[in-house]
Amino acid sequence: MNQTLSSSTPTSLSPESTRLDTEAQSSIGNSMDTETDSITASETSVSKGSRSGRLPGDLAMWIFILAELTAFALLFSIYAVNRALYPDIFAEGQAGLDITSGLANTLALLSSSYFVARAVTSVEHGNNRKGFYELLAAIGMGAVYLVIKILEYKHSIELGYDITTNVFYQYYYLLTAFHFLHVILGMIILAFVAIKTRKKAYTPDSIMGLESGACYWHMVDLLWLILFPLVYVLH
Amino acid sequence: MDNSNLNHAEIEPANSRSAKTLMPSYKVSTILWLLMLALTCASAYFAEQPSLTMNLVMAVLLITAIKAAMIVDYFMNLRGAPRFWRILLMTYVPAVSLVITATFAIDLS
Repeated sequence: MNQTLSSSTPTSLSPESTRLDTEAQSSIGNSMDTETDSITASETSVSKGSRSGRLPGDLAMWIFILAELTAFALLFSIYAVNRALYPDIFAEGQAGLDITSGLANTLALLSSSYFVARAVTSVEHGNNRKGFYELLAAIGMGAVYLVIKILEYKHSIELGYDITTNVFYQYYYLLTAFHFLHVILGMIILAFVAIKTRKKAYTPDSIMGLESGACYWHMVDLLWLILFPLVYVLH
Repeated sequence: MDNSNLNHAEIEPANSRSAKTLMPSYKVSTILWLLMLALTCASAYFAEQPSLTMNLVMAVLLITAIKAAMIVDYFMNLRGAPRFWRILLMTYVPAVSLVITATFAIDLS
């Protein structure tokens, strides 16, 4: 900006250039700061100025993600506290769950996130067609999750365990159903960005919408990563 | 220090500030994905252990935190993001894990 200023107003060259000098010096200091910081923080050396880089996706999406994370943090805490209060009821309930279903769902969501990450890479490389199919694969893995979860609910209900059975099933259904709804919302968002990817609405230079959708989906995955050990593993 | 150096130093931070951290390559994503699948199977194996100990709880939650860090830094691609957001997302899973560990400390000890 300073350069354009000084070139457009040649009359003020000398005061402008002194300002440029001091600015340049301070920015040397800045860049040195950034460098030492990134070394001490042992950051991945992928990007320079990693301190002040761009946030992937839209800020509004990140604020929404924060709200979601907060709500889930509360639910996880309530579940964990109740488990400690009623360890026997929870141990019995958790032992009745099928660890294989939980494991399969974790693998499905991780794979789904993987395909979404690949899709963003593809669009960054200008390959929207490939990105579209990767997003379809991600939605497919999301569908696998939904099917497994529905079968699991069906099995529990057939055995007579519903939300009124005891405190474990109350929180089990609350927590997993709330997450289930987020998977559905995430799949709708993925379908939306997949269609836009197909229509080449995203380019390597204009990819924010896709990144926003991708990060929402990764958040859904992140939440399941906590839910899986909390509900299925630790009992 | 000569002039060309000054100009370079002046332009450099401005560029890197607007610079975008690219997504990881397919290869990096694939390696991370396979690692996460393996870690998940490892934590499922822990579920088969006859009795739950505090060490087991911490091992399982540590695995969770490692997977979460991979997702935040590479899949969400926050490794080049503003520090506020990266730290916030990076600390979320460890923070929740701490709360969970604390509740296990109540009835396991």
